[in-house]
Amino acid sequence: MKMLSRIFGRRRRYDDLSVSIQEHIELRAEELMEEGVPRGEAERAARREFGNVALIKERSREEWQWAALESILADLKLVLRRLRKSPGFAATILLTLAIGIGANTAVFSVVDCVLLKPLPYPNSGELVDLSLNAPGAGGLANFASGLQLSPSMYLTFSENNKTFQSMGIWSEGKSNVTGVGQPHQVNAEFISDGVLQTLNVPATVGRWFNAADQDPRGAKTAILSYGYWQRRFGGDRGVIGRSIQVDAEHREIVGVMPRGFRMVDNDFDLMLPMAIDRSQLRLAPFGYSGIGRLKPGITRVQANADVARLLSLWMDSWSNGPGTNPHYYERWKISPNFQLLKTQVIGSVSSVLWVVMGTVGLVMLIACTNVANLLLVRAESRQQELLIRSALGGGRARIARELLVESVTLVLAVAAAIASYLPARRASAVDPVEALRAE
Amino acid sequence: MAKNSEHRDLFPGALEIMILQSLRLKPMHGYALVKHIKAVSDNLLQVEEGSLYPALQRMLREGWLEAETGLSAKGRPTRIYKLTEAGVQHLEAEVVSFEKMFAGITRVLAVARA
Repeated sequence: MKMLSRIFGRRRRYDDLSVSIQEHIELRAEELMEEGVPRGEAERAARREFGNVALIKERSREEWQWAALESILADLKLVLRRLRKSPGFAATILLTLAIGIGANTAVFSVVDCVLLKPLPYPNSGELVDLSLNAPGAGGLANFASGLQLSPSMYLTFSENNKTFQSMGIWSEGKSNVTGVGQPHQVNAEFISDGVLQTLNVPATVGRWFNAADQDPRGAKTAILSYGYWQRRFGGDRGVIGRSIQVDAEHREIVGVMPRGFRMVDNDFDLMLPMAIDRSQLRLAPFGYSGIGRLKPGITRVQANADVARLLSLWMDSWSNGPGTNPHYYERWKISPNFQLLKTQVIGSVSSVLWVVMGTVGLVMLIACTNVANLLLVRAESRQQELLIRSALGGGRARIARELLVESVTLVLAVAAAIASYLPARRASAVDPVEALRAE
Repeated sequence: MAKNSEHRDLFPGALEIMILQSLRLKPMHGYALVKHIKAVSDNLLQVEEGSLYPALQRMLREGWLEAETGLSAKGRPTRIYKLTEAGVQHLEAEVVSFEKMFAGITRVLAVARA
């Protein structure tokens, strides 16, 4: 209330003030004239004695103002006017800062996606990539990802382990789809039971595969990716229950995975149940990616030890056909080498990314130095003006503040520009995993 | 009223109570206040215009004074400042606290001299 009446009553106060001061000077002049001083001289003397009318008025008016706020506004007006007069200077600073900040934001959003929250699955810290070391396997396991699982291994591990909540294997391939527009080829993921439970991302529409779907003699079903659903079915929710022909086999669509869902680092169109037939299983072939979700509190090392003891059970349980020695694989010296999924997906990119982040950080630093230099030179060229101001009574703090207001205005302008154009947003719209794969 | 270095700056609050006390005697305009204080103090105190007008505005803001619009005897517009009830109370409180302060200062100076 008080604040409001102060602001609205101000004009009257200012009028009162002017009248008072005018009266003061006139009365003093009249007094001098009564003492015999000529009118003109008396008026000049009265004015001189009174002092700086403008300054005293200003000081008095400030009692009614939010002095700091209003004089900052005045500074701001001055700064804007001056920037408009030197658009080259303003543009240089804005561009330098905008590019510096933009580059940092772009790189940081990649770092953020890839390193800080890379896996779009709940509790992704529990996920491990199931791969094995097999130094005795010769060429078979001579690649970076080690030896992959076989379906029989998966069944043995999955049914006998004590350290995993769930695990599953998958392989990818191409399938031909007919009966939906033109026949076309799609990326398919063949997944065993346990994969969806492990990733633990619910279907957007419909359901996951269940045990019946994984029965080799059971119903033939399929799950769509979000992208494929949108492209081929126009996002129609009635797609559940529809039949499509995949590799000349009729399959019923039972679910659609949410947008952005991928098989670890693979985009896919169709997910098909692997439908493992136990009666046909042998020890080999090895070639399936495996993923598992650790029980809470279990470490990778404990999981390795747990599964290591299951290897002989695996060799006891299956064979490669009559007349083969199932314990042949002991020569391969197989041992579990499970990695956290995050480590496995990011790999060596991590250090590279941090170096890039550091580099753009330095670029930002250089940009800041340049801008600081430009501002210094500008202040230097205004030295005369500033000297005159301080000679006229401008305080140090007041002058410093005006220069600060100028810098802050420039920075805010950059922030506004970036916020409105969002160049970083666009840069980061490139899928980071895609970007990494292109590497 | 040449600015004279012999006139010391008044300590904070002193100008206010002199203005309040002067206006308690009778409402005055700004110039009369300056002359009044100068005359009453036998030229010992001189009020600077640069301090007076901001002080008047500050006191108006605090509600200790009110400004009345009027015309002077010569028909010129004038603003007469007069004390409000809050101003009287403030003055009385301040006078008590100033008296205590003067008493204290006097005693300390007396001991130092002895």
